Amino acid sequence: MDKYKNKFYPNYFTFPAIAIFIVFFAIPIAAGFILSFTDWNINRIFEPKFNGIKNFIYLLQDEYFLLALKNTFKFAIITTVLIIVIGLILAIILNSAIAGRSFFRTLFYMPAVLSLIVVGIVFTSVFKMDQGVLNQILAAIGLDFLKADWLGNPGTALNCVIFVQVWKWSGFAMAIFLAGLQGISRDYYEASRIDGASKMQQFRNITFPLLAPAFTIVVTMNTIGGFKVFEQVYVMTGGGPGNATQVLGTYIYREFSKGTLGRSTAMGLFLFFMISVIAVIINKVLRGREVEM
Amino acid sequence: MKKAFKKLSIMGFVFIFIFAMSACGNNGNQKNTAASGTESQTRDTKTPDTVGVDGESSILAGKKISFLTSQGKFFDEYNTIAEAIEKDYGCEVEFQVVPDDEYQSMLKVKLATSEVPDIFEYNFPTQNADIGADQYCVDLSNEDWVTRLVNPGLIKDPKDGNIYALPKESSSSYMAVYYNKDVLESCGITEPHPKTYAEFLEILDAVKEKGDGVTPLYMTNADTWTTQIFMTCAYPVALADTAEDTFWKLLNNELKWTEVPEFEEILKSYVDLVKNGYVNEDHLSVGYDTAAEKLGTGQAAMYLTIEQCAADVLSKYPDCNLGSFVIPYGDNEILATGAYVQGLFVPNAGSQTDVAKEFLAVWSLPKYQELYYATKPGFPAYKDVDGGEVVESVQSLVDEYISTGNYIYQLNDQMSECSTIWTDLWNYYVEAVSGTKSPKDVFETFQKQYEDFMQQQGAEGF
Repeated sequence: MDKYKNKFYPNYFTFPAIAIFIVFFAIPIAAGFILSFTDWNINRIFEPKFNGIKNFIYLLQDEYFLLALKNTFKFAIITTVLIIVIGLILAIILNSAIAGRSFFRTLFYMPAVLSLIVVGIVFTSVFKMDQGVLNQILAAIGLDFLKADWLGNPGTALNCVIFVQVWKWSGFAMAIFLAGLQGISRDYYEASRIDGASKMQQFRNITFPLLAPAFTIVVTMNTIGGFKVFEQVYVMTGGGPGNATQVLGTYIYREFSKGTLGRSTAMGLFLFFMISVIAVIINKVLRGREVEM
Repeated sequence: MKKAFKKLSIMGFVFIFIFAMSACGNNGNQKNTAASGTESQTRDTKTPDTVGVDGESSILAGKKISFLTSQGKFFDEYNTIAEAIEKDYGCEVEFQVVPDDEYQSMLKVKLATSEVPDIFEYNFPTQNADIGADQYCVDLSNEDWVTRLVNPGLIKDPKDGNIYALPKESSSSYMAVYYNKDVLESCGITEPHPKTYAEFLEILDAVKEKGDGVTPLYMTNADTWTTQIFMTCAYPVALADTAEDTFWKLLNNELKWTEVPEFEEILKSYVDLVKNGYVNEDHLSVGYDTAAEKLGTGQAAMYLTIEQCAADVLSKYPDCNLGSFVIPYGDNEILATGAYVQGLFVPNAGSQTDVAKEFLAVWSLPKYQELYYATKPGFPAYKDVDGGEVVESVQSLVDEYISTGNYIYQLNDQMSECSTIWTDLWNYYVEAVSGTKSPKDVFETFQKQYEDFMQQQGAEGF
């Protein structure tokens, strides 16, 4: 009996976590799934009526939802690519024996620990047209003609937010790549050098394949983070000017604020499934190319 | 021995854990709802010996009133009034200040779920239907302070004639161009008073030519509520006698937004102000908060806004000479104003509605109202309250347009049923200004959304 008790005793410690998971995650997800098929509205908060797939049809016909979807994809893809490229370059440079590499590792990693809201507010003032740091630098180096209202121009506003995301997370990607690089045995490089491999061949045939696990983590995390983007856009542009930088996160928030709860829940569900599917595909593809060391 | 020690350790740990959690809980209560985006400002409860003579027999003594409002409506003077009431009546006030863009939906959820504060602030009577005032709020028509009202007719519910809130002012929203007199004089313009829209454009031209880099008309389109002022005022003014009929037909689906040519023309006029270089280059990324400095320091000559801006400018730049004039949209020189005032409601579901009603009665007394008007002169809702010396640029609008009846209610109040989707329309205006949508596209897009919204609301005719 005691043996039986001891066997299950450790499981009891998981009950609080499971309870929290069920109450704050599983039940809301299930409720969200059901409510996304209703006309739930803030004016009829206790009387949601089943309306089939009407909410989802509306989403696909709503030009601003489609714009937000397009912006979200653009944001997620560009930020992921840039973060990987910059993170990888930084990692390779700071993995070599250069002076002050510990200092630079810390320096480049630092943005990752800052609050997104704080970063957003700081960069909003950097991009200001009147007395913004960027425009002042451009003026100081004689490039006045490039001065612009960076966050007020529909053509540049989203790019500014993308820049901030890349600035913030490249150092984090660098740290993961660094860990991956340091896990690769020097023996592979020595052996290849003896065989006459060039630096480029070493990168392509040793570094890149053996860095695949780190690559999987960075791609998955940044893609998911990119699709979930909200704070940076909300703080820096609020989805504007007009609706130019609207992403799914800000658009869902706006729909909730308007009180169209069923419709905004449907949007949330759409985003949830979209991210899940993309994450699974990415994971499957990238895991497939990982090699054993 | 080992087992006993283990048990003792676990008990000790559990005790410390419970103690720590309860301490965290208390702390959370004190900080109120700050974590959920709500700023809470609570004063300490006074000891009985500080309770004033007035309050000794009042039911307010020892009570705590929760007061929900939004950032845009909350002023420091509220704290001053609350402190004075607390001193006299021993009644503590807990302000719960919610961000503006979350306020409407949060309030509706609170009312629908009966998780209500004792008092909340909202515009009325035009917004009564929006929050279901007749269903969720106490009828205050028979309160004593009603007999002291300056303008009781304005605040009666359009449907049942009841008064559902204690008004803050007798009228509000004098939307006009507020200008820096010194800047205009330097451009050769004294006491501008355009009678036609062309004359208004002439003033802009003069500043553009002679202003030495001064922005003729400051725009703050990052705050879309400032963008909409031009259109919201212009539609009823330009439509003039046909305005009421046009809005009624829109509300009954007998007319479409795309079928009113004035709407498109007015939006085009607004876009032209940008295209013709009358406005600041950063108009799409700056908000209302930047306007006082630009106007006060003379970097901008004019700003189309509400009367609050005049007070903001003069509080920061007391030497600034401010003037005001009305834009004669469609060559009609009429002031567009709000058919609403701000008011304090008592929800039916409140735990102490009698105390809340008594609190409102006290809040309306001249002694406390004048604490507000001492620093923010305006137009009090009560005959016996001194509103102080109103800024000249605002007073002149009231004298010339309100007192003479030469005013019309803004679009938002004539179609208050649509208040939920106005912010979308305002965003479309910004898209027109930024060049991503034509004025025609704006109304085509909005018409679709309007129909969808009215259908969701179950409006007749849709």
